[in-house]
Amino acid sequence: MPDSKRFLHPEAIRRIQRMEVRARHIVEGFLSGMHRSPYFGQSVEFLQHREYVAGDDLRHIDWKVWAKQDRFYVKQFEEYTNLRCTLLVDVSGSMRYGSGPMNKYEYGCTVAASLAHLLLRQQDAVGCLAFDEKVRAEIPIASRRNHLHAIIESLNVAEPADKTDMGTILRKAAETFPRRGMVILISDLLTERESLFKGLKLLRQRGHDVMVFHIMDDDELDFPFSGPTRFEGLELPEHLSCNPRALRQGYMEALEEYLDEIRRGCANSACDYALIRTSAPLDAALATYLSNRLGMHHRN
Amino acid sequence: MSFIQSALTSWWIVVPLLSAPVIIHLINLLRHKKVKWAAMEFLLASQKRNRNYIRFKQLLLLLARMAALALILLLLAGLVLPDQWSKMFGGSKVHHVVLLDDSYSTQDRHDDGTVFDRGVEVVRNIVGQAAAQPTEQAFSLVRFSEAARRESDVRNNAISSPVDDAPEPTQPVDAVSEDNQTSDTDASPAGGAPATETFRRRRVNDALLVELENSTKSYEPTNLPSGPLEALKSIGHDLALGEDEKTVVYLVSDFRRNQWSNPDVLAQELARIRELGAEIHFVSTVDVRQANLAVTDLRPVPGVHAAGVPLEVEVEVTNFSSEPVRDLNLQLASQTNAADSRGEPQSYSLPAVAFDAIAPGQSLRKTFRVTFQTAGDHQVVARLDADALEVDNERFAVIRVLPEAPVLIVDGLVDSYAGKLLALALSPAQRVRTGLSPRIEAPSFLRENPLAGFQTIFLLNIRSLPDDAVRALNSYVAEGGGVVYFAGEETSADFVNTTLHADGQGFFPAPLRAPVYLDTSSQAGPDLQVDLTHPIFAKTFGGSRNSFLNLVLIDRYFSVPTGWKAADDDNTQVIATVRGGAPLMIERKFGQGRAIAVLTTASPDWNNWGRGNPTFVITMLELQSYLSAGRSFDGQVAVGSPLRVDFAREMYDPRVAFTAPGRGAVRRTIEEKAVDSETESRLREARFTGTGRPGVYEALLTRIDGAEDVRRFAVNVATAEGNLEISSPSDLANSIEGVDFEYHRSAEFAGPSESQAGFNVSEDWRFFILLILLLIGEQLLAYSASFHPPLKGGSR
Repeated sequence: MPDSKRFLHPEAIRRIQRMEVRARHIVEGFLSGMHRSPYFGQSVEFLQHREYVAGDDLRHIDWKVWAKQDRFYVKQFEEYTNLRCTLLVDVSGSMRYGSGPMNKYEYGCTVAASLAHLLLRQQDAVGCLAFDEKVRAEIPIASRRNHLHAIIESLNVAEPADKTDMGTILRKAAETFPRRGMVILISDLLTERESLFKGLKLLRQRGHDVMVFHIMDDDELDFPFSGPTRFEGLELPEHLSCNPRALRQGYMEALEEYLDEIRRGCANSACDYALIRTSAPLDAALATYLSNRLGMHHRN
Repeated sequence: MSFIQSALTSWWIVVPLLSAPVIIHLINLLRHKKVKWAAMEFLLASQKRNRNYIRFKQLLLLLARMAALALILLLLAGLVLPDQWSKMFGGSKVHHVVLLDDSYSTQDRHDDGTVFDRGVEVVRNIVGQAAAQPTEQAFSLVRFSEAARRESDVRNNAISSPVDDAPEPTQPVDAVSEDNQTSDTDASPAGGAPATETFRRRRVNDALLVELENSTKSYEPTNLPSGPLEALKSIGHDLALGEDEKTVVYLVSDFRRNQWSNPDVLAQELARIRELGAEIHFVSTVDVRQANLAVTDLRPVPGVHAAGVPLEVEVEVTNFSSEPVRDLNLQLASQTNAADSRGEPQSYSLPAVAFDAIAPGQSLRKTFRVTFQTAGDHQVVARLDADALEVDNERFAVIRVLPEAPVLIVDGLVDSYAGKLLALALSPAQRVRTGLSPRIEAPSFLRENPLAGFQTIFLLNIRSLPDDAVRALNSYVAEGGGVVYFAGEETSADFVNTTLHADGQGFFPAPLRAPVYLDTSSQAGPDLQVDLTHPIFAKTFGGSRNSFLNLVLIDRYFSVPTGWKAADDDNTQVIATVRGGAPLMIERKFGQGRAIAVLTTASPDWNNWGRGNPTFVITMLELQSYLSAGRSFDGQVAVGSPLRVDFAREMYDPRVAFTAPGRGAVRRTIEEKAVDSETESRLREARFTGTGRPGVYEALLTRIDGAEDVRRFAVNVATAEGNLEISSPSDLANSIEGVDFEYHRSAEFAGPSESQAGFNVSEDWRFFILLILLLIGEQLLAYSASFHPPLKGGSR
């Protein structure tokens, strides 16, 4: 792991109490590790020249300046906001599970805050919708720098509902944010798949770019339990006393089927999908976002 | 189906043990950890999919664990499978081999009877318990005396009593005989072992129980010192063991220390029996050592045993106790039989012999003097007061008292003074009775008459003898006779050296050179110097000044060759010398007898010894007494040893009637037919083996002319068996180290344990393999059912 990434690990991030600071820390840390400058807007309004540093896109070198001064300068443009991004953050009960330093809820909120910070820094417009079985908080899309605080406040849901009604929420999001933009869904997706896929399709039909960050805990992906255990559902009322190792194989098969179904559903809906472990460094979501963003631009 | 440790099969052990896996399973269910879990749908899906399979595996695991515990319990409890089951494992038969000690130490009497009675009770218990077992049981009984008799018969390969002619049938391995038994008369078979029903590989059933009950009523301990060795040797030889059966050997004995004096050989036999696959159980029938006194010797001192002549009898008492014995009186009794008849004996009473004190484990000898006024066989019995072991409180001796003891004086010169002087010395006068009857004969007498009847033969002034006379003399000495040779004017050194001495092949003690005169000038001291430690001189002259011996003057004597030394021959010694150290009296042990050469004259020709010196008479009498000891048969035979009677075939009828003492005053007579002697063609030999009881035995020989001749023998018990010291279990274990055995006391031994009742699964390695496989299977099943941590990676 590069040194810069070391500080983006959940264990390190967890020590930062304030979400704003946490988001900034992640984004700055993330950006400092990038060799390619993200500051290339799509506007044509020239802002300034800057001396070329290794990693800058050669396309932005001002050849005229080089011809005059025999030095490399890159041109920087004033970016304009052409992205309206909506963060749909699942804060339901199932997101409260966590075996590592951060549970899925904390991890998801941190990812959402980091993305919001990044977007706002790029002067994109960001909105947020925290939900469980219903919308718990809704922050309209804006590009103000201090908008981040409002988003973070909205994610702070004290008593989440046990259930997640993803279809309703996505429909609601489509109605709430009718203008085309980007929708980033951050959830463990432990919900009814059919309504989920319907909702995703609806968002796509409305012209949104949809990106799904599937947050899963290591325990959920690996199921490392052994010894007599009583599992009590965080959302479902069922409980099960069992020898976990005896059920592990069946669990893993069911999980794999579920993940395949999710991947297929997202692919069918032309949604970007990323499965993120809560033990993974927090910049993974940002990297995925940027990578997909580039892909989207190319795709568009 | 039964168990050795039946306590382990009680319900309060079995139920908790077998239900332990279920209880542990239930406890684990209660002790589970709780996890708030989000992805319940996958878990529930998995559970729904695998529920039946998981339950099946858990059930199998539970059953495997219960089965393993049950098998461990069965192995610990010693499950004994009944016959129909055990046949599957090849262990359908149990053969109980009981080796019963019936040596005379088992006559040791306690409050509840003799030690032997206890042993018999143990035998009954063993068979009784075996009969109660569900599996096929066989029983063999080997008594120590019986095994010793067989061993002796095999060793001797000789004439046996009629009972011995019936060979002991050895059954095939698989056969269990129902009718394999022999019966016996009152006559004891060889070795003194009483005949009883023989039990060899008999099927144990009710009929055998009844038969054994009846048979053992007549069982009695023998008077033999039989040890366990021969009985142990019989296992696997006389008593074949089957390969498809389990053999349990019970050594029922009193385990006296003297019987285990050679533990290496016993350990070797026991190890051999273990290698045959047999279990060994020692059942001790005695655990308290009782005090015992025994008369361990009674015999006349060798000498002249003639009517009216006092003779000495030696008696020895041994204290086989751990405490000293004081003020002991030994009662003596005597009976006299006429030497040539079997008429009613006359009884004499003899004064008791008192012993002041005998230390523990020590023996004390005393000599008493007795004069038998009449000729004949005198039985002397020494008795102690009754104690724990009675049979050794009594000891017998037979003393044959002659009217007179004939002594032959062969004089080379007819009617010489030397012969008369010697005859006078041996039989001075009627008032001073020596019991000797000297007879002066010419040398030709030696070749014409048997010499065996003479107590001693004196040879005087012999120039030469014919070869047959020399052979007769050599035979006489070799068979125990005593010869005294006096030198004289007629003595020929050449004849002596070539014929009588014959380079050591003849009886004469030393080669001679020539008569010489004693040189009295060279050295001071008496002419005659005797060895005062020698029995001839020790008794009379030892420890006192012998002024009369100092008066003996030696003028001439025969010298021996220069360089000759008595020390060159272990059997030759110089018992008297002349002044200067030259040998004057030389003794040689030749065969069973002795010869003494006196290298000067008997008459006062070359010396003055016979001229009024009283030491001459004493020395001649002692000389005669000493030399006649080799021919004085004291008739001592150990119980169990055969009586052998030799007689000239032309003089006696071959049928010899032996009379043995019976129970109480009853005597029984058995007629044996003599056979030709293997050693001497002119003799026949009759052999009687039924010497099972101590006492005086008689052999009646009938001459061709109808007259009867009786020979008597004193049969006594072996002395060592009277030592009642017991080997402790630890002593036994140490002495036969490396041999596995179980030790029991008869009082606590109720019979064969359940382990011998059938097929004991705990002794079969296959069940341990099964247990191991079951445990391995359980572990694999447990791993398969995910009750073990994964091989790789951690778990929570």
